[in-house]
Amino acid sequence: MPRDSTTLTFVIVGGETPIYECEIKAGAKKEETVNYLHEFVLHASLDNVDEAIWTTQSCYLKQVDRYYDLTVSAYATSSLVKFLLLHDSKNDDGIRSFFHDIHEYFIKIMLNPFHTQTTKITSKHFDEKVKLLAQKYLL
Amino acid sequence: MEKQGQGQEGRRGECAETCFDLLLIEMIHLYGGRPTQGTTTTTTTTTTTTTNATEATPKANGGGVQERRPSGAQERGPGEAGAGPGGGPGDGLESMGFQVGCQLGERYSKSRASFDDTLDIVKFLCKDFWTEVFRKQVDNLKTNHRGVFVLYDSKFRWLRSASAGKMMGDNASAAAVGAGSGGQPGQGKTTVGDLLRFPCGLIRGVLFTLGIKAVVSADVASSLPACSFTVKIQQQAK
Repeated sequence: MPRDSTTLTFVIVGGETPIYECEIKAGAKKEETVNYLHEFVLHASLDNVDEAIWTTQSCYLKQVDRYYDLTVSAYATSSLVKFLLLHDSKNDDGIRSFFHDIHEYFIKIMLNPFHTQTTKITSKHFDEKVKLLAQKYLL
Repeated sequence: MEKQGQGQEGRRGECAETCFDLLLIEMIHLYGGRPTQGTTTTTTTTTTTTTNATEATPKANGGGVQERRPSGAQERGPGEAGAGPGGGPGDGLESMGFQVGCQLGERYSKSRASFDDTLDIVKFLCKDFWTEVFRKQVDNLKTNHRGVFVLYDSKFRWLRSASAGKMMGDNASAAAVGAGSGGQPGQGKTTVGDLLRFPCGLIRGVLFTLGIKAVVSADVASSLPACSFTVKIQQQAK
């Protein structure tokens, strides 16, 4: 499929369920729903993420899966919350920094005592921060 | 003496350690009391504790002390007291410690993702976590290699102003908390056991967030600033 701009989908999976999903486009318009194909590819790659966790001591798991020209990169925290990013371009350093900064904001969200590992993240502030970081590191 | 804390946007905030001690003592009086104690705020039934919480939390947070732990943790405490394991007295404190432990565990294990095994996790707890929270490492770690660990700290920071009048644990006697406490003698005596409930929950929370379910109990040796925590592992998620 020809693509004019890079499309990125970012998902946070806590425990078994996704707690945050975000589709990031290069343009300014906001996308409310996530592309189904992207969701499917991301969820299918979760098994690979689990395997990859055992192979390395670092949080950043690099590329865990591919689907034609879409690659999935992952990052796992020590409490086994996984950050997954679907992208079609190669940007290792940018993605690593992106995950690192997202982890900081994620910790801040988790400090909320009403949040558990399975509560959906609905904070607009977090949403904005994700988009800002994506602009900074990935686009 | 000052303790480091995390402020907004990663700026480290600071809080005087005496304020922290006062907060701990207030928390124990409020949430950790035994049923026979005199004050009305130390009831353990769920219905009454939730109403007490709304009046009492401004007092417990007195002076606007914002330290390392999220301020919401105090409000959550009594609500969890009834829902906590067992539902006995002092469970509120342990549950609060558990929640804070979960969150601190997430934060302090940020740089490393996976641990080799249970021993590695307990070592992380004894070295990195203990250094962050209590500014020193655990002095001695013993294990029977069958799921029981004993963490011995010869100078536990939160007990440094506690003096033992007599041995703790009896109803009739209590270890009085020394200078800087501001507590009134005779009203809800704090025993050393109460002081150690929150750290037990803290340890349990950190282990839980890293995938280990355990039961933690604390014990005070004869010399007071020294104490030991016994961790019994029930089940491993990893």
